[in-house]
Amino acid sequence: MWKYVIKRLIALIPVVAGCTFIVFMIMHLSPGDPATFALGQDATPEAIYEWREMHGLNDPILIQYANYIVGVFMGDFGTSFRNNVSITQEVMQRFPHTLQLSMAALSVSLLLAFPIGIISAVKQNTWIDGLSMFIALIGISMPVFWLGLLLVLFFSLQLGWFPSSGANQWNSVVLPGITLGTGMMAAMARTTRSSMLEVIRQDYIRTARSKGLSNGKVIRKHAIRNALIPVLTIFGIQLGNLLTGSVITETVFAWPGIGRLMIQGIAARDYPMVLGCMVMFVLCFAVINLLVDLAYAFVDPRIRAQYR
Amino acid sequence: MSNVSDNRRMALEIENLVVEYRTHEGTVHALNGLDLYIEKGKTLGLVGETGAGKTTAGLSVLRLVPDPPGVIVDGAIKLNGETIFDKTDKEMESIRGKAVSMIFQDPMTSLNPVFTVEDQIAEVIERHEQLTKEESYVKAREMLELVGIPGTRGGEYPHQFSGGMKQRVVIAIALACSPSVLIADEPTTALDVTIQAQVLEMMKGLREKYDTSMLMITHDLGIVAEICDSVSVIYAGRVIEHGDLEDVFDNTRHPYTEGLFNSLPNLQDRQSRLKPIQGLMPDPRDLPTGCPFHPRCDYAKDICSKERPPKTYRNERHYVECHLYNSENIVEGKVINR
Repeated sequence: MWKYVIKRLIALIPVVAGCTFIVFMIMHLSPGDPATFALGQDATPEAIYEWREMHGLNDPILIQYANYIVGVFMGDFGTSFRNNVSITQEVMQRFPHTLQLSMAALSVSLLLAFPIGIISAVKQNTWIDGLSMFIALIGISMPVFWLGLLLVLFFSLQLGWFPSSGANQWNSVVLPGITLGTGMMAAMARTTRSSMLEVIRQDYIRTARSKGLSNGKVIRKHAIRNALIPVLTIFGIQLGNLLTGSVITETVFAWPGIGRLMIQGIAARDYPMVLGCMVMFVLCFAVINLLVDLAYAFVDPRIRAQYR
Repeated sequence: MSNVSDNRRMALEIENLVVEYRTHEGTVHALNGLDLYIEKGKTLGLVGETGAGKTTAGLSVLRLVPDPPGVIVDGAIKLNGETIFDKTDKEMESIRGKAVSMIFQDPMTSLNPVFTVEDQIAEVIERHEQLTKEESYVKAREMLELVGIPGTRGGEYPHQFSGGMKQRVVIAIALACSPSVLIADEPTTALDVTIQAQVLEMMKGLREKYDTSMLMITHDLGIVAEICDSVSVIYAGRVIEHGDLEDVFDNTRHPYTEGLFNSLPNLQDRQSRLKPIQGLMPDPRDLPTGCPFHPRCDYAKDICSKERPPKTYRNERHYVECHLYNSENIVEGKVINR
């Protein structure tokens, strides 16, 4: 098992290198000069040249990339073009906020998705099932930014229950958490339902019933664990969506996390900042997927056997 | 069976059972007045083609017919003299696995892949017997030994076992609480012939050891000859011929039963051609009127398509449902040329 984990962690190196390369190139190809952003429209060509020289932007692009990636693997993500703060420091300072938001979104989605999916499968074709799947359909269809704005409109402006932006109050995380978690909740509920429906028709469920177990116990003990396997796959994919979704959600709610930091970085053509946020996202995504793969082994002994 | 009066000798009685599956495509008439009787300690073979309603009959006894779409429309089932349709769900749960248990057809899919085999055997023991967790695992391992699997393998998962061994595990689960009635739904169909013989031998031994009454659902007349005391031949959800093993095998009366025997290869005369029954099982959503077998029957008469034939008894136990017979000619037979 440990051998497998280490193998997967080593495989991260080319992934990080590849992702940063793509983002690096796209950033440099996109219009807009960071020097102009930093010094303003009226800056003299000499000042601009000097600024570019100082930040190494006059080197050939591949050299620039090589310098950057060597720094990354030595733990140096550079400094921000805008205010010269260390990227590592900035990202690490923001990361707990993104983590908090993601956890809130995860709680919202998991706490709702499993019960909804399981109940609607067990009560297939009843009004409960219909209602649940209707909610899930809405949840999947709604764009994140729109849902965010609606929630702000209703719960902040009308009712005044939750703050509309920032992360200063204890309940600040509620609205962004719901906004971010809804899509995932809907997707997970639908997957859980279809997976459960398939499992409760399996022969081994009939065997479990024939042993004299109660319906509830059959579902809890025999069905859910088997139904979890395909749900885990979707879970991994949805966690990726959670990260990209956090970029939008954090912008809508002025949430001081990495997503918003990245958007600000893009707007200012702050290359090191964007790349630093990117690497953080890539690492999160990879670690999450590794955990999901390990969770398979925990749930399914057939997969466990393969990891030996 | 005419002498139903002596209830105490009956382990299982099914009377006039009607089960339908109501689907969007139409109503599937799975069982249409099925009668089955098993005496205590005896084994009844339920023989018929795929789709005749054999498995539905077995599931009905456990009240596990999937609902929806399955609906039990009519009939009664008595288990050791008690009517099971009167039981509450809770009471039914205490009966399943204890008073009656079922061996399912496909061992590959009948075990839960995420639990060890001893988990799955101990589960039924824990449910029905007053034992601690440790004691039920000890007993689970004993059950494994009983079906010929080393108890030390109890901690392994189903995917680590071969098909034959999985079927043994399924049998161990079914027998773990020594049920008085065991329903075996084609327990050997999914197995190699060599393993089949082993599993059958084992079941015979266990049946004697626990004095279990058994309903052996099968389409294999060889298995019936090997293990059963009496036979019910089922066609389109009705028993069309029933009797003791010798009655049905040596004094076959119904043309369908005859056809089943003719479909077996003759080992003495290897040149002889098989005489399969022509046609297919009728669509259970649209059964023929009268005798459901008449479209495939070589001896069909006018009346066969109009009226369902009554039971005609050859002796106290052996009867057929066929218009070819009446009380005069049934004893002599010779209506069909075997």
